[in-house]
Amino acid sequence: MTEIAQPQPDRAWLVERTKTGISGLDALLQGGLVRGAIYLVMGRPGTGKTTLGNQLCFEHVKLGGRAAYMTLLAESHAAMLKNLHTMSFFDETVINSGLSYVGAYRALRDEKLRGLLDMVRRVILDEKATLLLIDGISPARALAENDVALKEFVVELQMLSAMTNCTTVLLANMTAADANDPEHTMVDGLIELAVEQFRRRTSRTIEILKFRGTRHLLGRHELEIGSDGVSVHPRLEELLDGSITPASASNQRLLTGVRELDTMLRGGVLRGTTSVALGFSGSGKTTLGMHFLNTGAEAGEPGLLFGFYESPDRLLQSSERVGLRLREHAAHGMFSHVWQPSYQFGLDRLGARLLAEVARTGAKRVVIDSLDGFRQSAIDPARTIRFITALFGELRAREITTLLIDETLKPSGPEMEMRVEGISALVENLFLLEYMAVGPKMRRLISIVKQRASAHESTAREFFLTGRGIEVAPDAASAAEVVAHSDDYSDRHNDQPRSPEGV
Amino acid sequence: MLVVDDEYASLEVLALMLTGEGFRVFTANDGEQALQQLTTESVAIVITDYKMPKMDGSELCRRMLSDPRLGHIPVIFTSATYRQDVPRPKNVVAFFSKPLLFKDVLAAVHRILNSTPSR
Repeated sequence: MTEIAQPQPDRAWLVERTKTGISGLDALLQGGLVRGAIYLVMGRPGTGKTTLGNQLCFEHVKLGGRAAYMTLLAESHAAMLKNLHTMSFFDETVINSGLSYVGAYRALRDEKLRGLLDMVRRVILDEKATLLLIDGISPARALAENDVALKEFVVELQMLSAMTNCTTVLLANMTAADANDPEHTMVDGLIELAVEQFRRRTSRTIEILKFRGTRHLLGRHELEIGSDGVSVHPRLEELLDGSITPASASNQRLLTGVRELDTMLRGGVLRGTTSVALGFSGSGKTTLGMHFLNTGAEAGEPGLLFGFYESPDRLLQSSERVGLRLREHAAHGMFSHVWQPSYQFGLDRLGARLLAEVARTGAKRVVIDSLDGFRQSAIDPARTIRFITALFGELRAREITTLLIDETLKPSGPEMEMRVEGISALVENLFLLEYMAVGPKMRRLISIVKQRASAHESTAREFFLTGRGIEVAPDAASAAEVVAHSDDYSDRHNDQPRSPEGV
Repeated sequence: MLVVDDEYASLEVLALMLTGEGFRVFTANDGEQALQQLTTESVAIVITDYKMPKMDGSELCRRMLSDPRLGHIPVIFTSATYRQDVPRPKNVVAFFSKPLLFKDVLAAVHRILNSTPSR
């Protein structure tokens, strides 16, 4: 007999991804959903399933595919579309022209699961769908004769998806606690949406519980629903794990802009390193950061201040008061300030925001004011250090020189040592800004606790906040005097710290 | 048309889809059941899995070739594990590895039907 069809390439081992087009979700899925596979998206009401399902369809059509949104017993199509039409992904022109809405409950009610399966077949073939959403799978479960019949249905649906190369997503009002149900065990992937509360903060999360045969990022990640619909912010440490290529070590020194500090550092900090300025409120940390960015801008290096406290205008006024030209540098694109209250965003959204702004502005120097802003944004505070480690790794890989400001609760004393221990391993350079009472006066000291792989001055120096910003004493003599005459540390260990003098 | 497969979903869904295209479809779970069906039903094409219990696809083809009433029926082989360099029985006119793409199978079915003189 004549051979009718030549043997085609073996499809069995091909894993073709189809991008979701949803910000952050493709990163979480490490490339998108697997074409022709079947997924179950579950979550309690209000977790964002319907928005996600519709957005998947609209984005799929935008990327050149064809989608069908099938409902069983769910809200009417008109009501659903009315709720979605303000979102930026919504595009009325693709409805019935690439995206179809189909009601399938009657087929299910009248002909049970076999009728629903045949309806799915017809919709996929008639609409030439490459993505099918089935919203509200619970009625199928309720009308199944038993668990075996439901399993058969899911397996048949899986086969139908594979044979038509149409990716299928089921939406279900259930949680991981129901994970022994047939639909959980049979599908190729399980995604759970949730709303969690932690210390009176409410946060939306997404977790990929199962994703057969392909890589994905583990754990719970932040999900946001806004005017652009759903966006996902993968945990930075997971996202960057293994992907950071360390930049080659640079021997180039960059001036901090504080003359005597640069002398203490033997010429400034090395390019691509991270420094921490640790000190009590009012000790001059932000001013040090402004010097660092101002000097960078004057040397042709764009700088970014990523802050949580001082508003952009207030910061520019502060810089003008100490003779720094950040307003002028901002006008020439050499300085930018991203400001947000610490409670507004989750940790990963902040990380993404910072890295995006670095990419947008081409910043070579970054000041983060302060670590506490990240701490307060963290749902799980234990994550902060892992997050910061990943963030610094990425900034180093981009050869960005970073100054992180970290605030202590007391102006000096044991807390400083604890903070130093906690953060020292993360950074190359650590500056301590302390102030101490000497009689009725508060006097400030700056010291370099560490500068990795580089010589530096090991004694503290006194510094002053003046109309020219930070001015460091030319030698350590006055610092020795401060230490010798300062009030006994233990006397004020439990007292409220006093306000410093100066700016 | 006769679809033969020991895997439940492969058999049911391929049969459902071919039925949806207007074909009269019979099903069997292995070669033995398929031979029984072929003796009682008039079949234009056999679509069979290669690896099956009791009687596999190769043996089914061999038995069909040895029977003058069945030797002319074209066969489509499907398999997830079949090695393409293994010689195929001469009544096999197309081979598809699993997971199948229905549009490819359907196109092959139409080509076979268009090239086979009606009996």
